[in-house]
Amino acid sequence: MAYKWKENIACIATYKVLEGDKFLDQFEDSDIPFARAQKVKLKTLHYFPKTTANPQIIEVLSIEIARQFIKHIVKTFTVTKQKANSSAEIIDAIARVFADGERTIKDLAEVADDNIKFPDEA
Amino acid sequence: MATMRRLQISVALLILLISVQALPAEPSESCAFCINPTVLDAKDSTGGTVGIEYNFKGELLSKKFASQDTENSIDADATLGLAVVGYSGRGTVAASKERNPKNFLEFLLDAKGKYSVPRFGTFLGGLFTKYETDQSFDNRQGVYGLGATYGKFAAFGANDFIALDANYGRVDPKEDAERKAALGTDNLDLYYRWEVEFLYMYPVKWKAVNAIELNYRYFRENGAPQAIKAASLDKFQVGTIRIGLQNDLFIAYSAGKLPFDRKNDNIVQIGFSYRLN
Repeated sequence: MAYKWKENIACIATYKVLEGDKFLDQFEDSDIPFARAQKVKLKTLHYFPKTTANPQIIEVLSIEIARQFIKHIVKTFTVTKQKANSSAEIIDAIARVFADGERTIKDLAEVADDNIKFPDEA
Repeated sequence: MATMRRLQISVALLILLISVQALPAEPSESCAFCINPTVLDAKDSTGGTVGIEYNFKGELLSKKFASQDTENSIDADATLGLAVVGYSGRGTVAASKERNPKNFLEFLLDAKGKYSVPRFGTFLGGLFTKYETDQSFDNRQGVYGLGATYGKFAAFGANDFIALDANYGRVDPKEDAERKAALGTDNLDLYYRWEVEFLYMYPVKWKAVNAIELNYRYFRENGAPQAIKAASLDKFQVGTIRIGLQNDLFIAYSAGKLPFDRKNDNIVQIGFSYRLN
């Protein structure tokens, strides 16, 4: 079943960490409100390079921003691992989404939710 | 007749470019092959043209050497280590090959290792082989060698990013017409070349501008013959500044020349990115 963009903590956390001035600050909430964020492609965000398609640089960048993304989530929300995988595997899984500019914010929330257990999950 | 043909192709590509805007939002899935319509204009050429930038990538083998934490809590500072064999490609197809100032194809196959820790940043290094050509296929060559990439997010300020990518390898010039002319022979020897790329991205909160991006690429032949130096074929460099504006618009300015560019000039590029499914 396709992942649904809704007001659960996984989607809200993904949105807030991407948008918040104190977090990754990738866009303004006035430009991209929560309801419309799910369709926004990651390549349109500030972090994604527009002057190069060098796959090595994009790969390095993706690992770096994935680590920051998780760091903000761990600091802000009470979360645990969703599965029996390592923290490095979670960083890698999220980095792969950040590396693909054609993926959307909803895709990022889906992978985050698949790897991170948020407080509203049993 | 040729002009008419080029005009027809340009119109067809323009229609394609416009029609792409009308596509519905795509489903959530990874993109293995992506294309982006664009408009190219080379200052010293005979005019602009519409075109398509494309890229693709994949992995043939992957082995993880990451730290294995057993606790249920998530450690955002975990060390990340991977070994990967992968491939990727990128390039630009223009309606008029004479007006395409960019490489038509750059294909890369590599075996690399990754190492990432929070304070240091992320390092990527390994072996690679690459094939590149312009759109007319008059100039094409294969490269292999060593490469290393380093990058750090929030390096100097909040959410900026700096990266340096350096490669050193042997170049097979094959059908490099300019090199043949400079050396006066059809039998070209292999040579070694440095290739360095620098990227810095800085997000800003100005009224009309939301991001500034700087990119610089430098190519230098190691031990180039005097004839190559005299023809200015031993060193190439191109710098680009891109200013991101509101409403997904941008202005980008490039100065310099890549190894197989047909024109040594300044390129102004205006475009946007959409996905074709």
